[in-house]
Amino acid sequence: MLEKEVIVKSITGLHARPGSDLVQLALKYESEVYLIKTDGKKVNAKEIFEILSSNINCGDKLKVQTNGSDSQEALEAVCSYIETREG
Amino acid sequence: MEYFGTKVGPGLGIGKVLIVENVSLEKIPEKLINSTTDEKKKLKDVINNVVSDYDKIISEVQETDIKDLCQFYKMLLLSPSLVAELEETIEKYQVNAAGAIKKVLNNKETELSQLDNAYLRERSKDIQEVRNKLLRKLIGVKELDLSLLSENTILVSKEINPTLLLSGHLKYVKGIISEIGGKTSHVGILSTSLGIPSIFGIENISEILEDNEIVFVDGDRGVVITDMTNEDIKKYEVKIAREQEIMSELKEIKDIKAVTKDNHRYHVCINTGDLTELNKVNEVGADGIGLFRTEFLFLNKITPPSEEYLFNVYRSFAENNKNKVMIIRTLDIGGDKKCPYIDIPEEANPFLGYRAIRYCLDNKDFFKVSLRAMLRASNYGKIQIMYPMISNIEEVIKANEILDEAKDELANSQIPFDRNIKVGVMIEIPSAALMADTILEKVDFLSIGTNDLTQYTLAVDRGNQRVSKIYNYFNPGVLKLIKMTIDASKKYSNKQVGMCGEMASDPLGIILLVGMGLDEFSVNISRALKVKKLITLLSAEDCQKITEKVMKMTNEQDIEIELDNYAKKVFGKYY
Repeated sequence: MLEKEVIVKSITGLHARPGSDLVQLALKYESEVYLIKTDGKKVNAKEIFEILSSNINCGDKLKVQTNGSDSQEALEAVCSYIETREG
Repeated sequence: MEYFGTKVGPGLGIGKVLIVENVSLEKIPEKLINSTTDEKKKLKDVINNVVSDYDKIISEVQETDIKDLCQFYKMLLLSPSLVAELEETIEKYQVNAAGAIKKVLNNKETELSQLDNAYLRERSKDIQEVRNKLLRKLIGVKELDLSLLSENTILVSKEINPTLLLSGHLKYVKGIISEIGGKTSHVGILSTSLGIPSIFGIENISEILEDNEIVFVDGDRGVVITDMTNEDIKKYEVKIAREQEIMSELKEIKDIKAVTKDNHRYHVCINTGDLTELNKVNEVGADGIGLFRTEFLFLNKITPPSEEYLFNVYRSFAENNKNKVMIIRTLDIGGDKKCPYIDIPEEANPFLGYRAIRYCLDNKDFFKVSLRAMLRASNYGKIQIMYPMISNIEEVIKANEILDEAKDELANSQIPFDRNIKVGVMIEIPSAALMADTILEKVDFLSIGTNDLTQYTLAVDRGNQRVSKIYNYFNPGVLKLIKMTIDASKKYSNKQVGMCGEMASDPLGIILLVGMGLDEFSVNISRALKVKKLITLLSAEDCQKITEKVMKMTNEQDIEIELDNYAKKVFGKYY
């Protein structure tokens, strides 16, 4: 299992479009991908409803956790998406 | 009649009203009659059908916004946990497919609508949209087919659902009017990006208007005009045709600078206050953001926004507008706009009450959070800070002291910021205009907010129809205050005066303001190109002469006639 901390760049947070793009990205990997909020809430990055209701906003700190055969690639891709996606 | 609402999609449109009825989906029976296996199959079929509808749209339409939205809806429908939950619900509650769809998606919608986030609350509407689409499909309701329209149409509804706009057959859709919805709703975002003039939030409008009556939609002003004579209709049609021709011409020259014929350069910036407008400065080739309203970051929230959140929003805007000025106005809030964590009691007169800088100065720690966010963002772009509602010099001094404290705190923590950050004052209270020269000793720039300055000077509420005709920024008293403010800056070589009210985009206003030597025109995005073009048609020297003449006049009618005659001459078809 791999972990890395990131800060959300998107000014609208991980909602509609940025959120659904994130789900699409996470689904490309076999590994499980979770986002862990500072309050401990664990969000499945492959589930759009979980992403939406987790209310993740611009500037929030998240721990990205991946587990599986391609966990390294998944971790890098998801972290770089969260750190750079703007809109 | 004129009906005012929220400006959503800019532009002008005229056409026949088509009332879009919202089919009631609440009465669909939910009782389980067939076997649960049958219902589960029905459920899968309807989901697959709707998904393939979205796929069809994605492959057919050109607009990326529509494609993205359909993609998002598809994502919602294909979520594995959703399907599992729907199937469980059929079993557990012994309901049919419709019953499960309602139960599960209503829960999800409620969950989102209760979150402390305006954007997510709008997304709960998306879930409603997907729910309704599934239900309509299930009971075989035919969607309104816009491809059948054959003449210019204005869609009117209690609430327009996005599906309607997704078909892409929008050739004859010339406007949208609805009772519910905001600028950040999907319909709002879509109609803006598709360029459909749209006005939302007009109470009962779907009952007031009738099918086939002709209405005019002015998305730039947020007004719907009805009961027009044939001459009116002609007049508006001509206006729309001319406006379209001009707009397409202007888009070709979006990078022109606002330089007069005799080589005086003016800055044309945009007013914004909305996350959807992040990249708009470049789209219209503006010189920057002349007014960044911050209220949207504070309203509709249960707790105050964090410094980190504000900083990230400001930084994103600053980085997207590299090397261009961005003037952030500190919070302008009062008893008329409610925030649960801001304790401003109900007031008889909120516009003369406890608001904006008055509240912020009394709540120093709260104010400092915003200032620190702005300062930190100034490390990433040309940010400037502006105080609203200043009525005396003491307020400026106090605000600057708090700003200095914020700077010291950052410096002590070795957090980078622009140490020479420029600070300005919004001139919207007559006393501030009269004291402009003294205020300029304490700050780097002024920005005239004509809408409030006019209301406060003439003591008139423009929303009150009995007195609204008194509201006029060409009133000689208002003009004197404006001129006084601009003149005050001329004593300094390095201090600027801008304007961020409606007058700055009024062709007649522009003549006077060029004549008075205003440095910066900050206008709504939809007006920026036109303002630049108009300035290029003027000569500053001639405008000065006109201004001298106008300033001797004693009533606004004479002033407007004088300017109107001149405008016809110099602006030609652009007027």
